[in-house]
Amino acid sequence: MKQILHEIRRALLAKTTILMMIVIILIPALVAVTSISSVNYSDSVNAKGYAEGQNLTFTISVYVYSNAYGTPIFGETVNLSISGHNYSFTTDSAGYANTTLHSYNTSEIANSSYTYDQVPGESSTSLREGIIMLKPKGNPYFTCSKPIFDQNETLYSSRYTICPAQINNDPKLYGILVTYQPSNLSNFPNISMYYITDKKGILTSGGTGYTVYGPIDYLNNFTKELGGSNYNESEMKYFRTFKSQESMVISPVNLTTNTNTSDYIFEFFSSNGTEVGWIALNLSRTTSPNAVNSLFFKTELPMLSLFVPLLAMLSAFLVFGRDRVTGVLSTVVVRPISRRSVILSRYMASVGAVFVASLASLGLSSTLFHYLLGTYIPLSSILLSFWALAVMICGFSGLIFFASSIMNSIGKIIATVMLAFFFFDFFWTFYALPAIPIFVSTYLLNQNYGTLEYLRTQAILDYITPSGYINLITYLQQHNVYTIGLASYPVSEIYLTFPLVVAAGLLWIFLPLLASLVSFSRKD
Amino acid sequence: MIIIENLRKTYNHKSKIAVDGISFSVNNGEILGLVGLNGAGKTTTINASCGVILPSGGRILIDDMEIVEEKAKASQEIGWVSENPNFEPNTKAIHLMLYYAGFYKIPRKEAFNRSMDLLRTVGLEEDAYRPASAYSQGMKKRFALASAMISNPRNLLLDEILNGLDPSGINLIKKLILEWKKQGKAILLSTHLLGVLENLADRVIIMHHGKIIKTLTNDEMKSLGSTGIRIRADHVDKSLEMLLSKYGTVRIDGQNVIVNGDLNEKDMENISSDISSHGYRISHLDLEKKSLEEYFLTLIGEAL
Ligand SMILES: Nc1ncnc2c1ncn2[C@@H]1O[C@H](COP(=O)(O)OP(=O)(O)OP(=O)(O)O)[C@@H](O)[C@H]1O
Ligand SMILES: [Mg+2]
Repeated sequence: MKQILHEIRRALLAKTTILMMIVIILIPALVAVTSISSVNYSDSVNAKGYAEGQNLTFTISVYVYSNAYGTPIFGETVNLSISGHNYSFTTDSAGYANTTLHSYNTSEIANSSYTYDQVPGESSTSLREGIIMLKPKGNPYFTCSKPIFDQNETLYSSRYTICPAQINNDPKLYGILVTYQPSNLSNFPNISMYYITDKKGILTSGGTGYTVYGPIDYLNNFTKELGGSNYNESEMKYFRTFKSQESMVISPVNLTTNTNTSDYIFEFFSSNGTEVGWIALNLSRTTSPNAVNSLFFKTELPMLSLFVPLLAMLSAFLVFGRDRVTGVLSTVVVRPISRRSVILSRYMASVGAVFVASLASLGLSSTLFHYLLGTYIPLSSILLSFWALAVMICGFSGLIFFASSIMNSIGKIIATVMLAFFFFDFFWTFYALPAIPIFVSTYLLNQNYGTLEYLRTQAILDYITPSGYINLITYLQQHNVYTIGLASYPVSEIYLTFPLVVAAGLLWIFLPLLASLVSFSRKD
Repeated sequence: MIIIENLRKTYNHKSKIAVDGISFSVNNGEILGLVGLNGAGKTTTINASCGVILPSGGRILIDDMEIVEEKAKASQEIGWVSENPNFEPNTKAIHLMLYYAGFYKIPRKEAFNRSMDLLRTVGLEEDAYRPASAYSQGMKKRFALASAMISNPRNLLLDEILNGLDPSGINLIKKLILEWKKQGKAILLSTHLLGVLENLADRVIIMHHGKIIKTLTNDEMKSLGSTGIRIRADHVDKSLEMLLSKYGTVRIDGQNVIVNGDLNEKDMENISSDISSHGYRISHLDLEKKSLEEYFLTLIGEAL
């Protein structure tokens, strides 16, 4: 027992192992972390269009911006349709598309609408919005909008909108995107934003607070309706003041430090203290376990499946192959211990070291995901991928143990390691460059991407190398059907049944080990 | 006691047989020398005997336990010094000793004391906390000997133990080996220099091409190593042989008569006048010192 501990300690402390462990632990985690922004934020385009003028001359100003980040979008085409005519104009670097029209009356302008691409450059997703007349009505902070224009004008739309947005410095916190009549047109008086933590539970009692459109909603009236007591507005803290024509994301980082709640009430006042409107926002942002899971499967697992086999094989070489060739192993073999125990203890040590590294990597990235996104990788995914990694570790370690027990030169063993890495791991299964599967199915067998034959070939290839095991369990994760492109097939049609995959895993765990055991105990 | 019966070893299907059916035994309290040229099969024999490599055929008994079948038990009483000792990198000598001691279930405190004693004995006390992998060639040999003795085994298999040692090291090890012999250990020593075994080995086995070509006792070795006088006379007969036999053992080699014994210049003069006075004419007379190595090479030459 003490001997095995010594072997494990020795395997763990080898310089190369430590270096590879650092690679294994850090790179996949880094890849996962850097991909967080790209995978998680669904960024789309929003627009606000205003019109101002009189008689037959109107200026139209459409502001196009990202609703995730609040940043203006340059070069977006806006198609205005007015009384059967179409006009196209493009946003400038500040996100404004402006034009002046000379032959339409107020009613025609108010009934006009425009389209813009929700995903820049993809006209299939264009949205239509109405133009908002800027002409002040009654309360200067509100304007009337299309459907009720020229009617009794009792419904108003605020000149400002508020919605949650992404902020780059903290993916666990929402920013607040405030737009206050973003246009190149007339200015309006400033409004000031005040805040207080939502101690009275307006958010939890159902008040989402997105009272952006509609009649003026006074906070205390609203809380009364909910049966709560009034907020004392004089206790609210000043946050900042907005000018009209502004559109920005404000980061609530300063305001959330040292509080343990993320529910806030924001209220807007005019410069003379008139209440303009309010909003209740939960600023804490969590990513769904599903999103974290798919992030993990898409980014971290492929990295692990690239590096873990390499570490497993290097460790097998350092712990067994090199010692056997240099004669260091003989100083142990000569002791009162069976040859089987010698190779087994070395195997345990080597495999154990890589297990530790893989577990550390999984643990670290789960912790990082939680720290950055507020959600751990689901335990079932961790266990499943650990099983897959274990299969790969045992498979590749066993292969190198076997090679080490029949080869008598360091060069040959290293060549075997490199060959196995490039052939059975890198070119076979690494998602960025799966050259071998592509070559086999496309060029050798002339199969088309996405056909059943193609998928079957891929599955068989994944059974042939231990590194394909990650793919096998990834397919199985898609439950009973495997979807590729537009086609779906039952997984059983592509040899991906639960018993088969489990059997393959057990085979990879035990077969190479058994082969090296037999070869080391029976011959030199 | 080490018993080797019909040991055969072929490394792989491509290479020719390395050890070809040899049998011998090393008794308790005996030092057996294994001599042979490079590649004769000495290392193969020793490595197979201590279970480091697997034999292709035959049996090896260590204190009556078969080294392949009962490996873990048979290894209990084996001490091995390899030809080119190599140790785990980055591990201090003393820690390696403790690691090896663990295989024999020696309690840690005792293992430490014993290790330090052994390192002191082989002159490595001051280097106990250096990695053994960074030792010099001779230091590695000394350390290998210390590590072989950690369990104080009854059988020692020492491969080229004196190779790479300085003169004081050679003397030290010879002294230790003789001491262990007195304690009743069976000791198998390999070397490619026959001379090294003079005054050390009780028996010597000469190997060539994987076979035993000669077994010599200590006495036979002594006589081989002595000086002789080579005489060429006009005729060689029985009475000349009789005449010379009082000076030492006589051997007739064609025209030559060789007298072996503890002879010197004075003896040569006596012999010269003695034969002349008996009417023989001497055409050639010289004192020749035939070394063990020459004997060894002649023997191998004959085997070819
Ligand atoms: N690992 C090996 N693989 C293949 N052949 C080997 C191996 N080790 C030794 N041999 C061969 O076996 C034969 C005997 O070698 P061995 O090392 O036993 O000789 P030796 O008597 O110890 O020689 P030396 O005096 O050089 O140490 C040689 O022909 C050698 O080439
Ligand atoms: Mg040798």
